[in-house]
Amino acid sequence: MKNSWWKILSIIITMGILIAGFLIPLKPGILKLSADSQRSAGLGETVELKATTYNTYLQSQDDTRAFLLLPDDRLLHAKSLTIRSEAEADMTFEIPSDIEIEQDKQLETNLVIDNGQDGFVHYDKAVMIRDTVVKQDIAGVYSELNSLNFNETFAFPFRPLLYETIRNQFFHVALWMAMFLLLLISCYHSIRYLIKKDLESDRKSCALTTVALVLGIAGILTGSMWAKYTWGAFWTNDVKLNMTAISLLIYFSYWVLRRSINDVDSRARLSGIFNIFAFVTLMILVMVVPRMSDSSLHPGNGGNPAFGSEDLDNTLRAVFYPAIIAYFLIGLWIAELLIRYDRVKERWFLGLSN
Amino acid sequence: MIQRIYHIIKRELTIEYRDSHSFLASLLYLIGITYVVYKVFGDLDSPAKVGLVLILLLYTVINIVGNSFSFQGQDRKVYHYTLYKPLEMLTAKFFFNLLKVVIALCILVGLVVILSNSPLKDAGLYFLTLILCATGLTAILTLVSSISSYTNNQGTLVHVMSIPLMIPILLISMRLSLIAERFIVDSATDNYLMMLIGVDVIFVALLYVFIPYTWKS
Amino acid sequence: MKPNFLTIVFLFLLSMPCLADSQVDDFFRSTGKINTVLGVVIILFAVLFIYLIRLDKKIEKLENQIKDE
Repeated sequence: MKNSWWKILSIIITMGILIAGFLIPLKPGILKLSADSQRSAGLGETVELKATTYNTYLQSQDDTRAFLLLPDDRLLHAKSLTIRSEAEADMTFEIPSDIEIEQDKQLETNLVIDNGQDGFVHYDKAVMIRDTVVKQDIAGVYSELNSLNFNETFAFPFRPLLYETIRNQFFHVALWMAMFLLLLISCYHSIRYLIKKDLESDRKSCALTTVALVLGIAGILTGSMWAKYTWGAFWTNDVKLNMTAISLLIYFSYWVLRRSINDVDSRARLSGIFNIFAFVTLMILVMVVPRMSDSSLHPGNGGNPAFGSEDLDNTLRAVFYPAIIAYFLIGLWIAELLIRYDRVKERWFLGLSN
Repeated sequence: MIQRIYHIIKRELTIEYRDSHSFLASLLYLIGITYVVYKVFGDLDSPAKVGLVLILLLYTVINIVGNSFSFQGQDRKVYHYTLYKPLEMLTAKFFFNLLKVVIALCILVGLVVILSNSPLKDAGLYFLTLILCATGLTAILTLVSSISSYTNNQGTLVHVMSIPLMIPILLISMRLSLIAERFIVDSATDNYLMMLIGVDVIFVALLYVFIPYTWKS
Repeated sequence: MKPNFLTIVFLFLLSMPCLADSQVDDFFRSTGKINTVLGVVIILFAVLFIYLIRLDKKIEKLENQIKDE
């Protein structure tokens, strides 16, 4: 175990991301509101809302307030607010009659609940305001946006639909990135083989590809598990999932190719060529596929496949990058075992033939 | 050099003419499979038609180019190797294959237009897309077939290795031909075309870099 | 081939989502969906360990071959 500090490092980082990934809490948020049909109101009407929140302290904080955020950044105060538990609140809003709405349009407003400890939490498209004939004149009570509290605690962001599964960034998405890194090094060794004709490089590139395949399979399985309980289907038209599937297909055929050539030198040469070709195709896919699909299920994922600005905030990054390094090091470790196995086997064969 | 390439193409043409059955068989396969597809799916004038054309094209290209290196026996390989430089040989083979594929492509599109009884909405863009697509596929398949001619189960390997590599080209061509057939509206047609040309250039360049390596045995 | 331990584990993993569909549906969709994260982590480590066990067996076979000389 000489020169194996990086193996110890991989163990420590893995422990670290497991602990951090599970223990760092999620920011507070609003889980659900009462049914859609009850969340629409005309001018001058009253709307009742029942909100269920997550990770909040509504009851123990006595400064809890509720607002509707209008598109012009004014906060409309709730008429009444009944807090039933730490995570449940009922509120009523009276829609002022002086709101301007275009003819036959609806105005989308967001619900905002705020207190000193949780900061503000919001639910988008909470109440739709219709354009109706005003029955009675009601004036609204408004606050400015800067009266809201901010939550500065170190916690993962709360995203609708994802909730706690945002932690899968570290256990699924990072896996994919690590696989890509391993394939990159494998490609480097293939090029090295073609230049230097050193069988050791071929051995390295083959072992790295094998490990990348294992990580890819884990990525596919975890991805479809995540998809099932977030979007309701094992397989979706999602960019990352499909890209992993294609790269798996390509590298399985690399595996088949290696096993159908008997001569050691031509196997190394041909599979090296194919490996480089495959990696270039993968790079093209990374650039092309996200632009071909109109929508991605991963939040905030328009053009850039891996790092949309909405996708990762600093808290997530603090765990996400170490996670990539951890899987990458584990991959290197397994690849090293494979290489050593191959070396021992070859030496044994040579010993037999002499 | 160009003269020598021209010479090889002429030689290939003579050989091909002497046993033209293989290319004709590929064409027959194409016509047969197109007919079967239209009998199975009935009249279609939907995005699925565009996809079917691409898949038919894919299989035709595999059929025509996929065994372009396998038909020559070991002796002929050595003979060619001593007579010509690999790059000249490759250029000749590539253009010859491309010629065959474009002929097959025209037949395919003609058949589809006749069978589905709907003229092309934007013939120029559609043909340009398909020809660019065919160029990329031919490049990939030329390399793959030259790799797999050294292995012991050629037939399957060509399919297994080439199809995943073709996916980026097929994705862009699908988008472009959907635009050409007016199934979707997209203003970024030029971008997609540039992307397709770029991908083609990359694959052809890779082909030229690596073919000399596959020949060294 | 005799169905060995690994195949059974693999089949179990495959059938886990189907099980979840019928009986323990709420387990993976509990408030906040934290159990889905747990499932993902378990799958990840299961795949890694299955591969490590396979590698272990491969090395054992080589060791036995060398010992036989």
